[in-house]
Amino acid sequence: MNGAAARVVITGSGAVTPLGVSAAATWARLAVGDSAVREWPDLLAAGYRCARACRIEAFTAEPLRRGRALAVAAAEQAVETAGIHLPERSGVFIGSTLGESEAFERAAEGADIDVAGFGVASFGDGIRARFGLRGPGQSMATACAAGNYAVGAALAALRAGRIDAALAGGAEPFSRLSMVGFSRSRAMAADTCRPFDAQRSGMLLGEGAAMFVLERADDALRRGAVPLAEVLSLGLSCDAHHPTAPRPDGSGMRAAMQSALHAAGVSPDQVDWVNAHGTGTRASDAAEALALRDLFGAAVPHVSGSKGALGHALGAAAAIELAICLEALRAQAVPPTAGHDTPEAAAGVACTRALTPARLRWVMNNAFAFGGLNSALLVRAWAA
Amino acid sequence: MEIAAHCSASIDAALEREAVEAAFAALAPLFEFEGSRERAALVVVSSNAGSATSMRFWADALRTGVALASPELFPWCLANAPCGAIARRFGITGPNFTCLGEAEALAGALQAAADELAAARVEVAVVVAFEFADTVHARADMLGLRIGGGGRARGLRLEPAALASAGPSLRAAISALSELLRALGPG
Repeated sequence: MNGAAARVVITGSGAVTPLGVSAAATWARLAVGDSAVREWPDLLAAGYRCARACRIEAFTAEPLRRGRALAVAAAEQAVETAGIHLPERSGVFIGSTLGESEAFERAAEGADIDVAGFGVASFGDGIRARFGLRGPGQSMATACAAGNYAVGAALAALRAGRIDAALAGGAEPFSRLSMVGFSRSRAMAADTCRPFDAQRSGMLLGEGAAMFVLERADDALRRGAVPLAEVLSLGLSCDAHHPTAPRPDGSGMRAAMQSALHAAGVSPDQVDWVNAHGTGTRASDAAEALALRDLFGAAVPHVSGSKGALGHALGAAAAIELAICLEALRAQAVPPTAGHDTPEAAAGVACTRALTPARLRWVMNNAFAFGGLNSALLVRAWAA
Repeated sequence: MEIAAHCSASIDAALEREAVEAAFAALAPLFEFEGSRERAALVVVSSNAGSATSMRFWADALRTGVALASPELFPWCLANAPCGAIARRFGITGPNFTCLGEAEALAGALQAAADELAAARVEVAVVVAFEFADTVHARADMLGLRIGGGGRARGLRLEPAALASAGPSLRAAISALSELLRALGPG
């Protein structure tokens, strides 16, 4: 154990997304401005008002266990890229919204299914079984911020010496239930998702998973691993304002970002890029823009968002976007923001519209959620 | 580990929203503390938050057609909705966690609270264990049958003085869990 101040790094990254079945494949398409948004005939036929979404056609799994299969596939990639034989004291930290949506839907339709075995914990159980792990775990049901929460929990456990390595991230299978829910909540986009755009009209649903291997830096270096990034801090806050809407002034979001910076001893002007939550909804993007301007003042760093390309993967979104952050650190370039064509003048935040080479050291990954949850994960390019 | 306050309640409610609202009065003593609500963490742990409402929402959507499903139910399909509702009711704007699962989730919830206190990010941490109506109750309710009971809430408040005596370890969390169970007794 290295004590509370131990540095913690990510040494492996895996992702399964609508743009590709690995982090590298996802990045390759994201970087050239591709989008996975399309209309789905099965959703149209079922009477969905919004039938546009981002799904992973290249990934098949038993429908009742799609979330778990996505999580395991991403974890396998993470372990492979880390080149690690996971030690006995490895923890599993995973975030999602509810679990296997298909199981809840079928149970409601009358199928004899005990949904207790299909919750978020079943994702972590699947990963443990795949790698024969016996260490502690945590299932974070913190909706669209869950991936950040999971990585933050792994960070805390590693720093405290409770574990020797961690698999952490988020997973979310495509959910018809969520399609209906967000559509009926009038949160869905009329055509496509346009983060921070003047013409934005809402979100589109996605799915996927991303998992990471985290280790104490000393342990990673000792075994010859090359860290992908250092995890510094997770800032959290709660709006305590409304079941679905953020505080309009963005103060809760700002508090989370400020908390992350404070915990890491970093000033706002050190941040090189904010990977924004950027759902494309009027209210959330307006609040996030205010929070960014309030925190960074006139010197807002590069801002981008990926939900115009990947859809909103809910409980997997923050983890998938962290995988994108790692790829961007490797490439030293900020990805384009699909759907962002006309910055909203009043918001005062212009996102990248093309791959933008930049010196990236400090990167903030924002993720917010229904219930007023705000999270900001701060990572840094690895420097010994 | 010292526990600053604790509570327990049985709840006769089929869905998460009404269960949480029914528990507010019992939970209130946990939030009677001095200090900033920004410096307070709230952790909800449950094995089944969101399950009953998700099943009801989807059953209703199939009955009415997806284009006419009830938008009011949907936010409560998310497992973190109870934690958000408790935060709103008591004005808690610090870190807000929802841990889903069985015994390990409870230990993890206590660990999350201990970590927040140990890092001095908060001065108070409230942990609420919430068990909502199970699948049997939820199915019965969807059929218009009320078979009673089905929910329980238990909570405790941790403060830094309590933490100092034990340290932010999993052992301390398990110790706190044991003490909680002793304090609350059976049922």
